[in-house]
Amino acid sequence: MQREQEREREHEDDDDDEGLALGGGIPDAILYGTIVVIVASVAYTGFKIYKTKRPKLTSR
Amino acid sequence: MNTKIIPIIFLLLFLSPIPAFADDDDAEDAIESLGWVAIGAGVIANLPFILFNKWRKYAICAGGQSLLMARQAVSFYKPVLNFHIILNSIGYFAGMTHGLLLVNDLNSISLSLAITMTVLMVSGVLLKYTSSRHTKVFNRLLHGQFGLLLLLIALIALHVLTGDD
Repeated sequence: MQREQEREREHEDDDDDEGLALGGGIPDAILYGTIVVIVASVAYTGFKIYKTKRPKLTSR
Repeated sequence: MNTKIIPIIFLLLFLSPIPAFADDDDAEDAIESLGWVAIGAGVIANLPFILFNKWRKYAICAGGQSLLMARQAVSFYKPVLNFHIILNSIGYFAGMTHGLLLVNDLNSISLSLAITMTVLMVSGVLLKYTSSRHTKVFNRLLHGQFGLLLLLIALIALHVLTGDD
């Protein structure tokens, strides 16, 4: 029983040693930011291909 | 059909005993080590490949003796590309296994990292194995996006910093 309590305490101490803790909304903002960057990359790639394939208008 | 299913079943059976011991500290350390394997494999797979490509582009632009060396280096491109693909596959599956086994501690940063890794992996696989010209061009541009590389590096750094010791 005592050993279990000691182990529990060790686990709690381990939890205290966790790395950098980010504030409440920051991780969610990072997730949304990631999704935005990926969607923007896909859209930019599509736009680049569209732009190179579109025939140029010639002015007389 | 059977030939495709057998390796998948084998892989799942290979992984199935690990979560049963996930409470054990040694097993947890081993699962965490998988994450470092993924990072190591990613660095070794990408750094030489990117440097090789940059050097080749620079040599072609510079001309003269460098151009001659760049032409000779063409024969090395395929082995370097295969090395890049194999090591990145190992890194991807090691990273995903690490994530799946520690899914209880899932947070937004880990999820972002998994999404970014998957986008880069899928675009790479399509670039290599698709026969459609349009898909190849699209994935060549997407796979080489500098922004996605920066995002991946930033997310790995954040994941390591915010993860457990």
